[in-house]
Amino acid sequence: MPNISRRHFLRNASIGAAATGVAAAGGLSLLTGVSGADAATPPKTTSPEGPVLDGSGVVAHVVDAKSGKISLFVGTKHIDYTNQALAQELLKATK
Amino acid sequence: MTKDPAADSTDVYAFVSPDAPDTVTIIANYVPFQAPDGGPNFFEFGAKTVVGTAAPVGDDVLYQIHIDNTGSGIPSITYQFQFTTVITDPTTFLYATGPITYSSSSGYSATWNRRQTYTVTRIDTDPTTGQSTTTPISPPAGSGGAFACPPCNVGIRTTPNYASLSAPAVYRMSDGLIVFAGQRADGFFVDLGSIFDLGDLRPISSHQLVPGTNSPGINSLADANVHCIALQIPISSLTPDGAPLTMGANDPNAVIGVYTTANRQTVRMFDPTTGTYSGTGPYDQVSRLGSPLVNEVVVPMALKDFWNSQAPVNDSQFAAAVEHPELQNLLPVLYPGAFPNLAAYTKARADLVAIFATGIPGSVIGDAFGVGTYQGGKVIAEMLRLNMGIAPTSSDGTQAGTSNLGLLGNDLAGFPNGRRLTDDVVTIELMAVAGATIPLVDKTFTPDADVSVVNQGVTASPRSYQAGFPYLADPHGGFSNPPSTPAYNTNPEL
Repeated sequence: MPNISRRHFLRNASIGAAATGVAAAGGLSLLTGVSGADAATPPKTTSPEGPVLDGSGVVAHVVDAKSGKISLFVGTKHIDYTNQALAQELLKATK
Repeated sequence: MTKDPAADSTDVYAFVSPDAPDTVTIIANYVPFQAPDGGPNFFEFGAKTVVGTAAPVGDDVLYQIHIDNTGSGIPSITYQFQFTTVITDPTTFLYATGPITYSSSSGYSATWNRRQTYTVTRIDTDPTTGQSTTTPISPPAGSGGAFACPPCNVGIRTTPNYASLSAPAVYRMSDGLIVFAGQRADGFFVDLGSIFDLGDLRPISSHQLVPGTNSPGINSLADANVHCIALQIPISSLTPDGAPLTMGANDPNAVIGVYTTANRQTVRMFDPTTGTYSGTGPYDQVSRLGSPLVNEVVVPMALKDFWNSQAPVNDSQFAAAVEHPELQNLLPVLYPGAFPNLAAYTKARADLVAIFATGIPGSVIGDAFGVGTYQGGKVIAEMLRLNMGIAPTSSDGTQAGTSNLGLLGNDLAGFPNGRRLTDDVVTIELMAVAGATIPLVDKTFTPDADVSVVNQGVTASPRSYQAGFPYLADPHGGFSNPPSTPAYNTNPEL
C-alpha cells in the first residue's frame, strides 16, 4: 500500500464543497495516506478493519473544519476521523 | 420520505397463512400510488442498474423485513433484499421490444428489456450479545441462480397472459420458505381524499365541522399497483427455539413483532459527466413501518423523517405522541358534540400504547378470548405484533364469525393481532382512537355512542386479492387503466 501524503491526497482529491462540504478521492485509501505526523489526533475509527478499495472511491465530509472532525465513507463503511491540519488544508483548497 | 418512493414503506401485513396455518405470511409494500399505465419505464425497486456488459451503476436500496421474537424490541431475524436492474438493449426506449413470455427452460424472453433480479439473505441475531449469523438464500435449482421479479403489467400486447409471467416469480424453497418480489395490485383500501381533507368521513360527513353530504367512501387505491416483497415462513423458523408452537396462542413463543425498513447509503453523489448516481457508506435506515398509519397520523409531520431513521427499540422517545394522540383531540372538534366522553378523557392512552408499542397483554383480552400468557413487549417498540398461535380466519366475509374489524369485531385473527390484507385498519384505528379500546385498560371509561358509526365507508376491492400466496393479486394492467379507458369497462379483470 503506498504511503500517500496529505499533499498527495489533496492533489488527487476532487473537492466537492466548502468547509462543511464533501471531498472525494477516487480510488485512494485516505487512512493509509495520513502519517502519524500528519494527524493532529489519532484516527478514531468505527470499524476495526481498514477501508476496502472497491473502486467506489472515498468520500470525505469535513463536518467541522475547526475541530478537524471528518467523516470518511468508503464502500459500505463510515469512519469518524479527526485531523485539524487536514481539515484546514481542505478548507484552504476550497478558497 | 414521500419524495423517495423506491424506499417508501407503504404497508406491512403479517398473518398466519389461511391455507398453510403452520406458516406466517409477511408482506412489505413499497413504491406507492403506481398508475398502471405509467410508462415507458414503469416501476421497480431501488437498485443499481446494469446496462449491457458494463459494471452496475447507480445507488440502490436495501430492503429489510425484521422479526422480534423475544419482546426485546430488537429483531432476532432479518430478511434482506437487494435488487439489480438489467437493461439488456441500451439502444431502445422500450420496456419490452415484443411480447414478454416465459419458459421453464430459458426463463423470461429476451424481448423484456428492463428487468430486475434480487438476492435474499437471512440474518439471525442474538439480541443480547448482538452476535449474528448471515445466511444467503439461493433460489431453487433451475431458477437461473438469481431470484427474478416478474415484469410490470404493461398491457395485453407487452405482457399477454400475465398470470403466466407472475407465477414463475414465486419461489418455493425446500425448507418451506416461499419468496416473491414484484408488482402487485395494492390491497390497501382507504379514502385518502376524504380523510386528509380535515378528517372528513364521507359516511358521516353531515356531522362534520364543515358539513357535507353523507355518501360511501371512495377507495383511493382501487386501481393502483404497488411493489411487494412477500415471504411465507414456517412458524418453526420464527420461534426462538426453532420449534413449532405446542401451546397454541398461549405458547410463550407465540408472539412476534414485525416491521420493515428501507435503507440507503449515507452519501449519494451525482456524476454529471456520466449522468449516474453512486452510493457510498453504510446503509442507513430511511424508512420504517410496522403498524399501519402510525407514521401518517400519530407521528408529527416535523418528526417523520427522524422517526423513519430510528430503531423501534428507541421508541420511548415517541411515547407521548401515542399516549396523547393529536387525533384524539381533533375528533371532538371535527365532529362537534359527538365525542364528549373522549374530549373529557385526559389519561395517557394505555390501550394505544399496547396496540402499537408493546402488543396487547393476554391478561387484557384473555377473559373474552382465552388468550392469557402474553405479557406484552418488554420495551416501548412500535411494531406489528402477531400471535402466531391464533388460528387464521378469513376477513373477507365468507367465514361466519369473522370480521374485517379484527379485534373490534371480536375476530382475534385480525388487526391489531397482525394485519390481514382485508382488515379495515383505517376504521379500526379511527374507532380505537375515538375511544373504542379504552375500556380494555380502563373500565371506568364509557365510549361515546357515536364511536360505533365511525367508519371510512370503504370496502376492499376483491380484484386486489387472490386465494394463495402472495395473496395480493396480479397488478392492474397499463392498457386497461385508468378506469376511464374503454378497455377498463370491458375487461375489468385486467
